[in-house]
Amino acid sequence: MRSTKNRRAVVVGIVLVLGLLIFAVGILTLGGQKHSFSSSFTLQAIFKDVNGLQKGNNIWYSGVKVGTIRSVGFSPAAEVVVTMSVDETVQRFIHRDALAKVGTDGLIGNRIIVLFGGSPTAPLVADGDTLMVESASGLDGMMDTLKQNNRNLLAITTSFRKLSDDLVMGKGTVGKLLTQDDLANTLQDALTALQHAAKSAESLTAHLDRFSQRLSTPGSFSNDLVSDTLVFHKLRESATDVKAAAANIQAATEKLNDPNSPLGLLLRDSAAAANLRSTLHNLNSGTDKFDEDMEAMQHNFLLRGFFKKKKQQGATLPASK
Amino acid sequence: MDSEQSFPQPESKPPGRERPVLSAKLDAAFTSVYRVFAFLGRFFKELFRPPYEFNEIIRQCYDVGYKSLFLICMTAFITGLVFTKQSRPSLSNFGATSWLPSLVAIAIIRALAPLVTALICAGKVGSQIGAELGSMKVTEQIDAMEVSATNPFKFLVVSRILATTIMIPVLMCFFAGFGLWGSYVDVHSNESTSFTFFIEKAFEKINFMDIWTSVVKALVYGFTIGAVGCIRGYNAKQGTMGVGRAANSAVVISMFLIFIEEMLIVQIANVFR
Repeated sequence: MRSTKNRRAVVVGIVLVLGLLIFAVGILTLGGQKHSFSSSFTLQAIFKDVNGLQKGNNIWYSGVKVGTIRSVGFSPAAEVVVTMSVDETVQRFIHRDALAKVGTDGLIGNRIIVLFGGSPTAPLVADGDTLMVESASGLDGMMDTLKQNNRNLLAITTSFRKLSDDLVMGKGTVGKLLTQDDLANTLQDALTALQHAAKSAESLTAHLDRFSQRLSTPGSFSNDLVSDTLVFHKLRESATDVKAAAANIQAATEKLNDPNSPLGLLLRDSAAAANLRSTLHNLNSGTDKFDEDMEAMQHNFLLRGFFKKKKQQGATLPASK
Repeated sequence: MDSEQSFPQPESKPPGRERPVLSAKLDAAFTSVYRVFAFLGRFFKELFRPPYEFNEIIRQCYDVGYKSLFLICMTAFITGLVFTKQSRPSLSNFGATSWLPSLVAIAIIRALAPLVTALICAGKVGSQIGAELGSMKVTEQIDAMEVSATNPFKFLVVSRILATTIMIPVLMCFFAGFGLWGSYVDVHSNESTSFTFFIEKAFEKINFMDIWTSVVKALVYGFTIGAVGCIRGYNAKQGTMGVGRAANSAVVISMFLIFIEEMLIVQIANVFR
């Protein structure tokens, strides 16, 4: 019985301790988040409108949560005095010319105070300092912007309405185009012609494409012509040679045309040409007669043995082969 | 008898002879109210008067706290997990699933932890107290204790009310812890959120007022469960039927009172926020 009582007491104690432990962890976690257990200093800011800022809302500096709102109250001048409890560890980063503004944690989140700016040359803030504020746009500002946008939208739609009316009435180039059939037909013809031209251009492009493909086919003459630098070099040398040959021909032609040169004289002087023709005729006649003489010599008894012997030698040479 | 003096029973009247003050029903209703307050007054008087029944208080704490612990933790884990799972589609429509830890933490710490813990304990512990004391009453064990010079009120009632008042806040802490754990399991499996980040986000929108309000709620609910169970059981009549009625009415009345108290405490807490 006694041991049962002790066991119960121990179990109840364990349950109590565990429960209180969970509670303590929750409190410490919350305290850590709210900087309740860390030393802090106080800053103030005076706003005209805090847009629903409440005690306990967060304070951000450069996007980091550095404290909470301690109180929100009114000054004698009917302005809103916001007292902020800021973590002491960030005191060395906030300068006296830093600004405070009312912001929002997300699009529809809680109101927060945003500390920003501050020049490094300015002294650091001290406990109880009052920061300058920047008036936040807030919901009213957003509504004003929205109102302005609506006005702009109205003006744009009015312009569009006038434009559409003009189009319907056939005013302007586009209106005429919409209302006059002949103009539309002309435009359609022009478009058709343009379409044909586009097709031709497309065909031309295809041809050019094929030509360029051939040009780029390795081994083809055109490709060699384009890409083979050796052939081009040789062609250039050949052209140089042709040019030199042409110069020589020109010099020779000039000499031929020169009446003082023998060939020029021959080409230009008709008497000399006739003499030359007569000389050639005589030479031809002389050759025939010499041929007859040679024939006669073969039949002469003095030289007949020599020619017979030569003939026999000529007959034996093919048989030995 | 001390108990008779501190907790006066309605005087036995000759039937049909005494004229009612207002009417028979109204007189009975107001008498009941008086008896409840007299019962509570006697509790506070006996609470601070020695001798203290520590062993009985520990036994009751064991019954109320330890024996309900598994049920509370299991319910809390499932509640946190399901609540997170059910809330996700609504928030994901806005791409705001990162708000789930805050949402669930607010729901659990501000409302669900004290309320669900109290409702579970009202069902489990309240009925047990009502039935236990009711059966002791109808079997005249309580009268026997009085005869044997034991203060039954201190031994039976004070220890039970004290046990529920102490243990319901402790069970609430377990509920909150396991509820957040269940929520974390769901958030981690879907968004791969780290535990540190989850806790940081969960406590982002919670303040000390929320926690103290929940503790106060749990204390009040614990006291209510114990007090209602004891009152119904201690005043049980008509044999076994009275025992069942006492157990049933202990649950129903304590649950009803818990909701009423929830509404009142939230209203009062909002004044101090």
